[in-house]
Amino acid sequence: MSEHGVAKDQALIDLVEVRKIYQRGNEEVHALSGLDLRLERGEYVAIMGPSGSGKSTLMNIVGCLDTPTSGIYRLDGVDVSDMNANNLADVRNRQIGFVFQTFNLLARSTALHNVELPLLYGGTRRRLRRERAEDALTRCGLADRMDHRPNELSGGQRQRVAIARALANSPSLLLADEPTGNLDSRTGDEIMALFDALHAEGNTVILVTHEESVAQHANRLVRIRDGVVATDERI
Amino acid sequence: MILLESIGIAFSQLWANKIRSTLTLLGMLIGVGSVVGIVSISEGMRRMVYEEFGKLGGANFIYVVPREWVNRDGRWVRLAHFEPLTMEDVELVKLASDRIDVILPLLPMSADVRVGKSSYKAQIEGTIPAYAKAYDWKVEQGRFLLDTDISANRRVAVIGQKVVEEVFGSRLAVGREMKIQGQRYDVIGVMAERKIFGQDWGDRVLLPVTTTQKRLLGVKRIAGLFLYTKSPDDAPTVQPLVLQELRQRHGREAEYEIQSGKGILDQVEKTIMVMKMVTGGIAGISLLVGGIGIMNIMLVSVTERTREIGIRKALGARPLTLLAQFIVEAVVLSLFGGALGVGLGVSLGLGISAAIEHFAEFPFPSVVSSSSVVLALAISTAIGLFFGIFPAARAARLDPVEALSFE
Repeated sequence: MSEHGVAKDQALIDLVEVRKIYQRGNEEVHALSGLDLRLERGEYVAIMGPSGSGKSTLMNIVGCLDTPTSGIYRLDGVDVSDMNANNLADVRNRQIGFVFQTFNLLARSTALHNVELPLLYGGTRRRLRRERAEDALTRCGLADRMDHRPNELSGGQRQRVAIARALANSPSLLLADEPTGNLDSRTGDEIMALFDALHAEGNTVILVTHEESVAQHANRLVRIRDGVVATDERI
Repeated sequence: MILLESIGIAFSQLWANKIRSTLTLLGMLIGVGSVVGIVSISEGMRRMVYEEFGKLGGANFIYVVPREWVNRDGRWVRLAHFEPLTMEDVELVKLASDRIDVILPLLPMSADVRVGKSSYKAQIEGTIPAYAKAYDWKVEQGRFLLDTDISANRRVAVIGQKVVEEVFGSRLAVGREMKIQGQRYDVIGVMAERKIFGQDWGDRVLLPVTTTQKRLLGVKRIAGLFLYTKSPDDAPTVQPLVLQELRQRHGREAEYEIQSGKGILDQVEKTIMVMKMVTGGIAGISLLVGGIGIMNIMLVSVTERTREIGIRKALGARPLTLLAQFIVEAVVLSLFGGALGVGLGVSLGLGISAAIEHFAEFPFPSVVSSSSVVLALAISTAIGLFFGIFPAARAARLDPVEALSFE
């Protein structure tokens, strides 16, 4: 996938000495203070940490929504630390599938249209776009809900639409930020079962959560504290 | 593909905020509507003037009347050298230029026409046989004046339809007698119906010019000359030649009121131009206000939809894509307003022309040219583009992280 040739042992995500410093008034906030993290393709990783630990900043950088102040971030072998807004948009489109706590669906669009969006921005032709969006929705168990708008769907169904949208462009990485945070526990379990299944199919999944029970679905747990990795364990 | 998507989004946005969209459209609607309305009225006015002049035989006439009184520093002064024109001038001025087609004497007066107990105040015109052809006015019954009528000062009259109606009723007029100032006249012809600039010529009674001079007025003069040049463009060359000839005959100090059809048309063109400029200015202000309204509403829209913008960015929309999306929305808004404005302008033009036709009782068309419609729509598009860029750039530049966390 990389233009620079992919070495066999190359990590999907390689963060080296990543710092992120915000200016808040006169004060400098060190959200990340030299964080190192490597992730292989096919991993299922949970990232945990108290609020203010730098977990959200890490998410934003890994998801290419933001760039580090210093340090290097290689995604699939490509250095994305200094990319401009256009290139970052393309990387997000092709490599990252986001799943948010609040679903972040377009309210006025149908489920199908929501799932088609990343394909549209990626330049997929109309017919193929529709085909792949329908396929993604079917994989998420929404074959009979494609023409519904978000307000006609339950919370769990909305999150399934969001997951289908994240899958639509076959990204290298599913990045889920508190995906069960707005769901009751039973629905949350169903969503986690879906993530488990997607991982079993070979997708790389990163979960950001503060719930131990959610984190237990992953097979690696990374805890962040004060902008660095505090613990990193296989589970 | 993305453009189509953007147009779709634009329409659904407009639809979702109907009241807001409608109010925003108003500025464009009024601006474009007034431009299209005024342009179609001015075009209608131009066409009307040309058509009415066409009935007079074209715009190639020149009208000359000697001045007896002139206004000097606000006081009316009688000219010392005033010398009235005569039938001799009709003959001789014709020789001044070979571009002169025909010259008619002007000798109007008004007098009561009587038949039995019916009486009617008619417009009497002393004239010559060339009159009917020059004005392109057809004789409906009987015949027109002949040269012998002129040379023999005959008491014969060719009358308009209104005169027939008023003094003969439904009876046949040709061959009957009527009285003008107590003198008996034979009706030899009736003219066809005719209206120019809403004025009915049916109240005219045409007599031999010589008869009018000698029998009715007891004078040798005529009031003025009405001459036709061979083409409307001859007016500027013929006018000075005519004046020169007249001054040679009546004195260098003689003054004349001289007016050409072309001069009047130029005046009309100037009036239309001024009309267009004034309304253009008003419309320009209206369009500016409309454009600012669009910019305002687009800024509100961008702020309201910050989260949506964040989502789109997260899914891979490039800044340029979002810029295009919001500019398209602004253009759709302004173009929609402009299109409605064209409709408003067309109905405004039709309404005003109908009102003028109704109240002034003469034909006044409203002419909508395709070029004015195209121009109106092009201006609408340009306004959408211009006033849409700033809000759209704001959307395109939003930081995805901040946009996604916007509540």
